Amino acid sequence: MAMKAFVAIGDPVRLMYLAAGVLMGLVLGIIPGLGGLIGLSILLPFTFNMDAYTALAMMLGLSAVTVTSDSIPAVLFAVPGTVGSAATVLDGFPMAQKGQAGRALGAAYTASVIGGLFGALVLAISIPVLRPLVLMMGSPELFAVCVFGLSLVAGLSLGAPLKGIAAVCIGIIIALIGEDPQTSTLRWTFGTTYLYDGLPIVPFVLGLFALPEMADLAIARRMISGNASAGSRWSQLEGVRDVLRNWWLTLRCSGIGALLGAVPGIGAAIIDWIAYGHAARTEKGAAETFGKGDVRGVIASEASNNAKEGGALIPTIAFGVPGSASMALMLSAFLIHDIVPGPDLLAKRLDVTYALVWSIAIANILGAGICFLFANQLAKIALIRIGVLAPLIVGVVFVGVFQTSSTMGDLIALLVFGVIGWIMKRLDWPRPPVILGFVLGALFEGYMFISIQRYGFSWLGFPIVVLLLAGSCYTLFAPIIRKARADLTRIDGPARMRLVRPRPLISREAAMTLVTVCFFIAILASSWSWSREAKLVPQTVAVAGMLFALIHFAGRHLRLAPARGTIENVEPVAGDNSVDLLAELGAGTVLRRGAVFLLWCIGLLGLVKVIGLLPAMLVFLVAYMRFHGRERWSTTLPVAIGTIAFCYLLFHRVVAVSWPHSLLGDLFPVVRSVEMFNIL
Amino acid sequence: MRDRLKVAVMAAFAVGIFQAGVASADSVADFYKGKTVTVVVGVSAGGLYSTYAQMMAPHFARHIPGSPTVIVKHMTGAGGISAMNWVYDAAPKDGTVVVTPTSALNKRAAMGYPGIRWDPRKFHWIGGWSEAVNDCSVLNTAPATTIEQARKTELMMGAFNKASNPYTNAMVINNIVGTKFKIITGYKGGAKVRLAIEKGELHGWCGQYLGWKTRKPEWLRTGKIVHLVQLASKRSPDMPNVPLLSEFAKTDEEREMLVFVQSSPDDRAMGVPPGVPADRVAALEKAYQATLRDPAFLADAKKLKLQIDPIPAKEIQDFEERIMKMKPEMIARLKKAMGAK
Repeated sequence: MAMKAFVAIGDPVRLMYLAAGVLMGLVLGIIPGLGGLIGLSILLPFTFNMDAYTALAMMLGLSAVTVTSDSIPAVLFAVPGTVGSAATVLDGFPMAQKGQAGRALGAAYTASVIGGLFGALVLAISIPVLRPLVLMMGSPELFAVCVFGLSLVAGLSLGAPLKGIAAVCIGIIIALIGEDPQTSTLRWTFGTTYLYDGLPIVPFVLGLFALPEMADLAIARRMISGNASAGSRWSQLEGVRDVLRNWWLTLRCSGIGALLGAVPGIGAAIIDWIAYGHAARTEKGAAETFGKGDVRGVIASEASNNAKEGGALIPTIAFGVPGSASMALMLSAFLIHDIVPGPDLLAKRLDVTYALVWSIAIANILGAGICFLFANQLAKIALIRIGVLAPLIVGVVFVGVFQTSSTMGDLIALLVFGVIGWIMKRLDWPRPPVILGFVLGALFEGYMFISIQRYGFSWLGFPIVVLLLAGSCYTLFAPIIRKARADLTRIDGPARMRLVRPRPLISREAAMTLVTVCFFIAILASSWSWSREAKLVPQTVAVAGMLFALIHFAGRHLRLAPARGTIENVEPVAGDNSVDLLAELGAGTVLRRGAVFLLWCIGLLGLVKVIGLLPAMLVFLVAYMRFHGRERWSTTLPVAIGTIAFCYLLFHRVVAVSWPHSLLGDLFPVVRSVEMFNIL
Repeated sequence: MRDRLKVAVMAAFAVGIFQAGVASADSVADFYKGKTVTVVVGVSAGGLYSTYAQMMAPHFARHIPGSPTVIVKHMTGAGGISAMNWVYDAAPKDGTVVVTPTSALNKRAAMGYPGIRWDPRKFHWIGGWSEAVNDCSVLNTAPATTIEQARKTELMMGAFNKASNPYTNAMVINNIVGTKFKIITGYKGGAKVRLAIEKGELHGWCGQYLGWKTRKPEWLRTGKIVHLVQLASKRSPDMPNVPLLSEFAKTDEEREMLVFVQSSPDDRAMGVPPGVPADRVAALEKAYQATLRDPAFLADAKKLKLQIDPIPAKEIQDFEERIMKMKPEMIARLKKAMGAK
């Protein structure tokens, strides 16, 4: 059956469509904010009249490779191309800064293709056991999976697990924004319908990760790669060798991706983090090198997010339960072609299932191959001057983010989380746990209430639940206990708790702890009047977050020390261990330049309201490059106009965006009836 | 003589009307020529409303005078409320934007839910493709498989949030018919509910019938699920022996409440915002009604397993007038029965 499907997919015309899908997917993956979802929704109507194999091959081709090319912006500019590559930024970008962009990209593509193939393999061999496996996981079990996922935070906040837990709590609370499913209480929607369904993930992720990196580059006023050579011609082969050398890690992370991809709701946004966290905990020497440009971090993230695609098809095929919005579109395609998910697909229509497996496999090979061809050229982008690059990326991120729900809310959320992300970055607080908390938080509350409504509390005794919860406790507390043990062994004798005098008295740590505690107090105060069900989870999480933040802070100054003798000083613990560009600049300069960068972004936002997104972007690009970046007109104009033309064609003509309504457009509404000019 | 005059006058009049008709059709065609008509969908791609709109768009384009391009735009937020608000008060009012509200959104407007800015009566409705039949279905192994039994035995029924149809449907049936549904909220979408039913976590739910037909046809075929009651204005040809919810009413007032929660003509409606010139509204209505009867369109709809049951614009308009005239006491009683605060 598998061979028959292979022959069917191997048909040259079908392969051509598959390749076309792959090309589209690669382009969408590179552009932040665009991903498989938009591509598939554009493609779907065209597949109505194709045969089933061709339609599915093309759609899968597209969605399988967006997570291959999304590593390009992640490595080069610290802007994840889709939410699935945010973890790639952590080590990929520092590698680019060290002039190893080619190597990072080579490793990313290789890990992607191996991950993708492994995911397809998992899908293929799990076909006979698919249904019983998924049926085993009820809401209580899924709740436990979420808790286990949250417990992995320790691996994502190297050196400071308690701070990581506090950050997870912040993420969970942000996830609880919106209409609560129990009581329909509107939690922190600030009177805007934008937040009714909860905060969308794209502006959140790009705000937390992309804007702060851009701000730092703009503040440091230098190009991404301080090292003038972007790497030799063969540097990407070095990346390939890295992956082969770390084959066991690659397979492990692929396995994580494929497995978690099969759990509905646990999507691309956190699979990369979980794999990254796993690598950070299990790889030798990771504590010192991860986050500073360790290629293993890139491998972990990229292998897992490509493997996810095979896994994500499992619930779709076996039960017709789409694991994500893109899978919902695949499901529509199934239905159009008279393929009903369920037992049928695993028995009578096994040919279709194998065709899906082959499509994923071929798409991954094609996608990585094409990326390899261009890697060298792309790596040179890291050498572009920041005066050109920063406005370009900010502009594209703005347009990309706007695709989330086509309202100004997307842009405002991007800026708000940009500021929060930058503060966290500067004050050494880890950002990955916030994302983990955000994605798992909403699921966690949902599954918990379903379990309680359905089973009372008896579900806490279900075997899989017990197993997973015990595993979570171990993952969370083992490193803390291990560290205390090590301290005791080192001291080797009677120990006591000693207060270490903070130096300086008001440290960055103290400032951030204070801000966090105030945040949690505000959460408690603002949710006080809600009904019990609506405030149960937010308040519990807020109290826990506050406690962990305070314990962490106290722990920085309370040390296990020998009963006699001196105590060593408190060593600084980095949040996400990233390379600090701004170390040599004074705090005043950093703040001043940061404020200027923020003003530019706010200016862009304001201008969008007045003259529309695309025109505002043009003005912003020209003004920033010419007057702030001091580029020549001969550089400024072609770059600005070229970018706008590209965005116009892609977003206006192909994606068909509803642009935000500007005051200018309100004055001249006639412009909006002409599609070509309907951008105001 | 007088008769001839009469005929002549009538003829002249008729010609006048006809010419006026032609003139207006021409100006409409001139307007739409080379333009783009946008169908705004308030929920995300991949769902029923979006898939339908994408399938329908090219057929609709052929029937509009001047053959404009018809595209579909997604504007998600607040379960479709954002898109409706946007079309109502911000979108161009020249007939280049139409919107497809999800079922029950207008009913929520009538009940005064927060965040809703539009008045359903002021939209120009141009037609609908079907009503949305909901039904309460349970596994054939459930402890109760008829309404009578469900009045005595508790059944675990799934739902999304407390404002969603599956919840309010089950609540109203509990409160008026006296069933003992235990409603478990928090599922994200019909597919998740059906999976939970398959896992044995739930016995059933009071959701869309269409989902069974498209996603679990073998369950319908083999009788793995049993329908307790259907929430429709008339018995669906697929479920001739399943009672309608309104059949359980004991008083006129109960009847009115049950009819309100049943399927309604605006479930899959398409509308144009207020302020659009009347000739364009008329042209769009005519075009949409023709689309709904177009064999090529019907063939595509069949591929999606959609039962097309064209609903005239006037029926929708009348429905909106009716629900917006509901007395405040009735709304209060409905809200209570639906479990809303």
